[in-house]
Amino acid sequence: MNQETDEQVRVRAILDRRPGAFEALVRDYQKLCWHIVYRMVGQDDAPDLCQETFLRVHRLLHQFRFECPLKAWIGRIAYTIALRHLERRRAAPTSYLDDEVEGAIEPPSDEASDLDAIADRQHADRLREAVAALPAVPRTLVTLYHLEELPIPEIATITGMNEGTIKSHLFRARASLRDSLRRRGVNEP
Amino acid sequence: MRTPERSSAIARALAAEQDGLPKDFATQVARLAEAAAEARSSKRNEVALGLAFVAMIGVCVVGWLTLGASESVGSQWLASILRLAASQPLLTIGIAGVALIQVLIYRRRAASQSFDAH
Repeated sequence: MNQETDEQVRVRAILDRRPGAFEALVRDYQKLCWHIVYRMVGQDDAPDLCQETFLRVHRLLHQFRFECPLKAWIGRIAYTIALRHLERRRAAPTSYLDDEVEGAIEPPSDEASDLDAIADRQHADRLREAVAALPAVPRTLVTLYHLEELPIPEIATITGMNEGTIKSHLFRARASLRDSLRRRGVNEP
Repeated sequence: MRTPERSSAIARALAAEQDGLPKDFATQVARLAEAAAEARSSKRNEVALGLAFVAMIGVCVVGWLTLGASESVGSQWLASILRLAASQPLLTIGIAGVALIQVLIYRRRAASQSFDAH
């Protein structure tokens, strides 16, 4: 017997216009949407674009074929809307990393532990400022990877980038954050 | 290429940020989405009704041409209708008025249903 997954049940409930079904979906994914859109376009336009994202999700949900997690599909819509908004504003995301150079930036050792040590609670504000100072795309990738804890393949689905490019962006962003923290006077241990 | 290690420091720093969405964001968006879906559905119904009307007229015309053509030659059938309409102007205006009122009633009902749904 073909057992429906939770996502299929949920999507069916929305398509059947069951009361509260879509509202629950929005509630579950609004943070993800916010993280993507806010990191891409900033505070001012983010609420409207989040709303646009979920209206589009509602309109296109019948086309969702469960080929990827629903979360990634929604994230993809949010990312696309944010990207188009940036293009319209003629402030295309300034990628400081060409897709072709992936692999060239991998550091010799992972710097997670030293970064974690640097950025303890009292330095969280500086770290947030440093993240905010990153270009739009790496800033979004950092959020999706470290905060949302999405696996790289899901981030690839959302952004349409290949996995190597995403990893390069992440390594580069980490290096940039570390430098930024040092410049802001946060001493390495 | 190896996978980067996740940083709990970055996660903690970013998690401390508040999102800028209103508290009832989900409710608002769900209401808007439902309204948009209702509007799309209403438009589809109107288009379907219009097509059905056109199809009905088509069937009538074909029927007239098939069955009535032998009695009236060429486009005389149209001329005979126009003559009939001209000879009974009050009747023609009455029928047109009733049709117009029906259309307006339908549109008003559709609009109020859409409004109630929101």
